[in-house]
Order: sequence, then C-alpha cells, then structure tokens
Amino acid sequence: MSGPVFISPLEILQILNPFNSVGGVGMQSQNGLIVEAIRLPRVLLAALIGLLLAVCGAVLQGLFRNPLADPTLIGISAGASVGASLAIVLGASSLAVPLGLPLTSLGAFGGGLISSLLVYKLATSSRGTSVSTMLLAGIAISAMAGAINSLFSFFADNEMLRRLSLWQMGNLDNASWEKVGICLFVAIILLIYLPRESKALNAILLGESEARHLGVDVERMKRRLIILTAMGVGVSVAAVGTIIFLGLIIPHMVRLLIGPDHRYLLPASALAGATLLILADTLARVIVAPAEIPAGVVTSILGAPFFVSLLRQQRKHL
Amino acid sequence: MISIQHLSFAYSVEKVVNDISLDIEMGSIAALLGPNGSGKSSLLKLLSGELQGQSGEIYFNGNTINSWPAADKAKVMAVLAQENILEFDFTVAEVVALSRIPHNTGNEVDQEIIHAALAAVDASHLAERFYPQLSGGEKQRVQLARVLAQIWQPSELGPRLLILDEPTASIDLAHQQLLKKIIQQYAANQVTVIMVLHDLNLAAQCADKIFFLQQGQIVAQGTPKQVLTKDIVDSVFGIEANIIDHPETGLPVIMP
Repeated sequence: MSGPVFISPLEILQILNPFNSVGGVGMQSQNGLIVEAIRLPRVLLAALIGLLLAVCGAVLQGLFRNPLADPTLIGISAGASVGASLAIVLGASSLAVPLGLPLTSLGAFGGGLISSLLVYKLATSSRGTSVSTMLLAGIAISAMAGAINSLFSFFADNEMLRRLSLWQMGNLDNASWEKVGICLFVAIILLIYLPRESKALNAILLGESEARHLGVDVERMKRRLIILTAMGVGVSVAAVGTIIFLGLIIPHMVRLLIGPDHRYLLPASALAGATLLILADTLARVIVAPAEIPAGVVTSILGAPFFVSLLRQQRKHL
Repeated sequence: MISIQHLSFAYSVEKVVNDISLDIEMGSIAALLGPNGSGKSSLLKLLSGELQGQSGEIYFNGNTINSWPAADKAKVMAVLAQENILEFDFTVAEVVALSRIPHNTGNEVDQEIIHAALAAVDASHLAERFYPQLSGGEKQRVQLARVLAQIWQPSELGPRLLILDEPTASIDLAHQQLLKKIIQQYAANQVTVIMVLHDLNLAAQCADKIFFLQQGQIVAQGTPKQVLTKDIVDSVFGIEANIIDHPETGLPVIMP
C-alpha cells in the first residue's frame, strides 16, 4: 500500500481497524480517504484481476493442451474488449450510469465467449491443438477486434469516446469498490467451479479420446470451462482493460515449481497471479511516483521475453 | 460375450467398416489383422465407443455399448491408442496415476496398483522421470501400464475389456515378449483382450482367435492354425509367404 503520499504501515493498520476509526463517517482524515477509497480497492482489484487471469490462463492451457494458450494471445481478451466497447457505446446513451459496469462486464463476457468458441473450433481436433492455428486465429480475432473498436470510436460521440478511451487504456488506477465487488463475485464462482474440473483437466492432457476412456464427459467439460474462462477474462477486461501475458507466465512458473497436476496448479496459480499483479502494480506506482505506468506495461516487459523463450522451446511443434 | 452385428461405418461415403458381424468370447484374446486401411483401427474405435456406427449394433454381455454410462464403462474398459500426445511434464508415476480417475479406491490402493503396473511393464525405474523426455518405446510401455492399471482389479460392474491398438509398434523384442505374457495373464483373469496387430507371428503366439480384415470386411476368422495359412495370408496381404510350424509350440510361423 505504497504510493506518492507516504502513509506508515502502522497508520494503515489503524485506518483499516474497524473498531478504531480515524475520524467517524463523513469526517475521515485525508490519509484515511486515500487508503479506503483509493489504495485498498486498488490492491484488492489487482489481486482479483491477477487471480482471474492466472487461473483462466492455467485452465486454457490445459484445455488446449498447449502451454502457449493465453487469453490475450489467442484473442479472447480482444473479443471481450469488443463486447465491452459495444456495451459502452450502446449502454452509455440509454442506460443509467450505475448499470455501466455490470453491462460492460456482460458485453465483455459475451465477446470473450464468442472468440473462445471460435479459436477452439478452429485450432483443436481429435489429434490435439495446432499451436500455429491457435496463435493465428488469435491474431485474426485481435485484428478484427481492433478494427471494430476503431469503428466504434469513429462513430461514438464525445462522451462515449471519453469513456471508451478511458477504459481502453487498461489500467488499475480507476479501481473502485464496484469493480472489486463484481470481480470478487466472478472470482468466487470460478474458485468454486474450476477446481471441480481439475481431474478432468489432468485427463484431457492425455488427449480427448483418452479422457473419454477415463470416463470424462469431454463435451460438457469443454462447455463449462469455456464459459467460466470467458467470464473470468471478460470481467477482468471490463474492469481494467487488457493485461497481457499474466495468464501465460503464472501457470508456467507454477508448473515448473509443482508440476502440471491441476488439483494444485489452479489454486497455486490463483495465489501467484494475485501476488504478481499486486507487485507489478505497486512497482508501476512507485517507480516514477507521483506519476505511474500502467500495470499492463510492467507485465508486458516481464512477459514478452518469457514468451519468446517459450516459443523457442516449442519450435518443434509449430 | 462381445457381439458385433452388421456394423457399418463411413467417414464420408466409402464404408471403412462394411457390414461386419463377429463374436468374441469373454476372457479370450482376439487379434484384428489386415493391411493398412482395411478398417482395423476404425473397428477398434467403434468397439471403444470413440466412433459411432451408422448402422448395426455392438453388444457387450447382451447390452448395447451405447447404453453404457461413460463413468461405468471407464471402470471396466481400458483403451491403448496408437499415438500419444502428452506434452506436459507429468512424471511417469503421475501419468499412470491418471488411470485411477474413474475409481474411488483411495490413495493407498491406487499407489499400490500404479507401482505394480509399472513393475509389470518393466518401467519401475522410470517412475520419477518426466514423461515427455522418454523414448518412444518407453512412452508406449508407460501408456500400457496406465491402461493396465485402469482395469487392474475385477469390477462388480461386469467383465473387463482391454483394447489395444498396435501395442507393439515401438517396443523392442524383449518387451514384446513381456507384453505377450501380460496379455495372457489378463486373459487368464477373465479380461477380454481385443487388439490390432501387424506382427502376424505375435498374433500366432498369443491370440485365441484371429480376424482378417480386408476393405472393411472380415475375410477370414478362426484360431491361428485355422487362418494363418499360406492361401489366406497371401490373398489378404498380396504377398508370397512361407509358413512353417514352430518346432516347439506347433503354431504357425510366417516368413514373408
């Protein structure tokens, strides 16, 4: 909880202690406000987004049977961003502001779902997943999404344009309790339902028919996982925009440490994702304080070399 | 008994399995033989439920194979595929452990079975190695251990079935003999074994019944002595084979 204004750890604890409120309702100290309205939701949001992206990355890599699957690389985030833009453009004019975020999230979920289904249908067959098709489909979807987003900006009026560009900057600096709430809601759903599919995810690493021979209802499992990951990616895109590579790096690091067993990989990725994005965001805020760089830039700087080294290892499969 | 009646299957127009009917006794070893593209693997996939026939039925102990809930089927039927695509860094023991997903036998029993299965295929020493780093033959043996472990114990759900698609494809001679022994042991324990083989001599040594397929149809069936004759082998494979009797077992030995 560091930032441009220095608040000592002790004072933060005092502010967060509900039985020792520094100033009552309506008369909070300035530091109290900074912690409660800005820094606490931001840290929580970073944790939740990190969790969502890392878990979704881990699940997608299992589902595609490929360690290069990442929501941003295969176009799910792009699809989600189109859905979100659509919701902003359509919703901004007709609906009241309080409905804004849930509507954007819903739009992002829809866009993410469509693009996941598309990439999955294109890239997988009974013989496995083609990495090249998967990444190329991601490029195609991202390009299409970029074009549609530009089109939206072209037709949008000033107010919508302001909203669109604010949102597209993809940053954690607009953290609010509303965003924390909606991300928490989706995170809880994912943490309840995804671990139930751990064994099925382990089985599907052997191949789809092998998983079927082990009694896994593969079609049902795919449907569930695609819907759940679209929810996770969608809500995170709606809340903070696209944060690239997190869903790729975290499951990888965790696999190196504890192996590919999804019973441990999913919870460990959740924890590591939350931790890494809090760290990345903290770094992003203090490096050039009082200005800040978007957390997505930090994860990209960390992630790109990582991705290139993975590509080198994977070259034989491409 | 496994009974296939008038089964046909086509990927597009041409039938790769054309009106096949056959019976396999429980606890026997059946080998499907024939040239490439004769429909052996497709027939095996129809048997395992991976493909659905366009017409005809497959009965397993009187019940059609499609009426069988997947979770129950997984407890009594194990399938070894021709190729394996696992690229994630599971250890060998972890790969074999996946076989226990359908069962609720508890970790202790599972661990025992996993290690016994690895020992059976002479792969105990590989247990802690990473699967993707193994050689082709070693991978094949580990996958074999996995399917063996899946149906290691008798089930109250009915007789067990082991389906193997070219199990010896990349396995060396010593381990082929080991595989033969394992298959015979399983059959002795009332497990029905159905496999596609290319090695006619291996089929001669261990099959109770051989089915010759050609262009999606069964052209000959019977015991090794009945069907591994010069006439049949020559006509199915289009070669000039020499067939002699094995000096010890009396079983046919095919020399192409």
